[in-house]
Amino acid sequence: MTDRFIDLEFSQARWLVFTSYLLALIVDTMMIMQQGSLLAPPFSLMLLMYWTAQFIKSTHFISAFILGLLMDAMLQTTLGAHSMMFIVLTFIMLRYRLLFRSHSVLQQAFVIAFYLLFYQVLTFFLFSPTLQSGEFSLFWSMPLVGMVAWTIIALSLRWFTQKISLN
Amino acid sequence: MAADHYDQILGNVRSALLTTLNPIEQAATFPKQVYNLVTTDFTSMDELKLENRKLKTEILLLKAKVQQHTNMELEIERLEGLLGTTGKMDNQRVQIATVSFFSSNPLSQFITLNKGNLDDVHVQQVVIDEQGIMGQIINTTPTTSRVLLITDPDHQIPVRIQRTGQRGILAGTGHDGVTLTFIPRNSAVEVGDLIESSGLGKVFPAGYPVARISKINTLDTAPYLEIIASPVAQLREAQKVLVLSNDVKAKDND
Repeated sequence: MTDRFIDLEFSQARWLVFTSYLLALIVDTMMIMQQGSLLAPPFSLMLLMYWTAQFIKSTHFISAFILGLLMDAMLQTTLGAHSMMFIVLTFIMLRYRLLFRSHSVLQQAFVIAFYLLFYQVLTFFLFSPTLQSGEFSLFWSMPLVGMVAWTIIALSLRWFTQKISLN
Repeated sequence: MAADHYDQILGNVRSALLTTLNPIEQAATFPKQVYNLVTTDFTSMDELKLENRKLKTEILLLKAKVQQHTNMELEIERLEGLLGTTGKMDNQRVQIATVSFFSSNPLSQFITLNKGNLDDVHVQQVVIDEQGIMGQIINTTPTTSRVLLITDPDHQIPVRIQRTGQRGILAGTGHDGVTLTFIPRNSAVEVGDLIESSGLGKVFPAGYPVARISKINTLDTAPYLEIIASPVAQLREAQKVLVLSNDVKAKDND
């Protein structure tokens, strides 16, 4: 049994995509309330990366833009800043998604860690988060947590997409 | 981005986005609400009785203080009349609101209240708790409003030191901290001094406590002191808060 992406049309998994985005936004919102939220990766961005690699017939820029705007409203940052970051990351994923799809889940997790590191660098320079001395390491460790999260997300969604493709 | 950052002309767009996020915020706080509900239900009868007795005593003390406050107000009015000053205390209308969501991330410090446009809550209204100023409303939706806390790095409030009357600007530093700026090195500032709103800028009413000075650093090269303070309001713990209205309540209604 492969752990790579399963060929599927967007129309077949439309509800799964919307539900996953909704759940990701809820989890992201929950993380805002937690003191240790610095370690939590942006789940909506990770879902966006997953679906960008899954459905190769569309660019997903509109999804990136809308999710970014919602993140801006959620985090009280300048409107459009997260949209821009999400679109830039989606663009990079679009360039390499065929190669990305050919990787195993663990290899994908390593690649995603670099995407998340780039996201943290952009966050650091665009928003200048107020970090105390002990929080720097937490802030920069987020991509490592993202690697673990990606493994769980990718395997769960592959299971769901497999079920849908069989039906 | 530029339109939002410099002019904030996208306020309506942000309000629409926040309205969309309302159900998501509610879903995110649902587990905590369930936890609170369960823990409250298991509170013993004795604890409730004790709390009730404590609250009754508190109400009695507060009522006594209100009587003193009314007398003091009249006296201040009389003295101000004699001095011919214009800085009169305003009796402001207040609304009680409940904190429904809060942010604890390093990008922004805010809370969400369960009162919005439909409850006549508007942008720039001041939010306080029983200790002091918490922040001001920056966005509203029909049913909720978002309050930027005084500890947010983007927030600044004109203040004065209660003991000396020295004016300055209190800026948020994130992480539940604030810093008092523009206080010259030769000022008579002490650790423990209470900082209150000065009323300049006409957003925050004068005389409300804001923070207490916790540390003073003198830098050799800087002409101003580096003053670190702690907010007096319970920014993280407060559940019920008061939203002050911009219009002044008529004295006849008191």
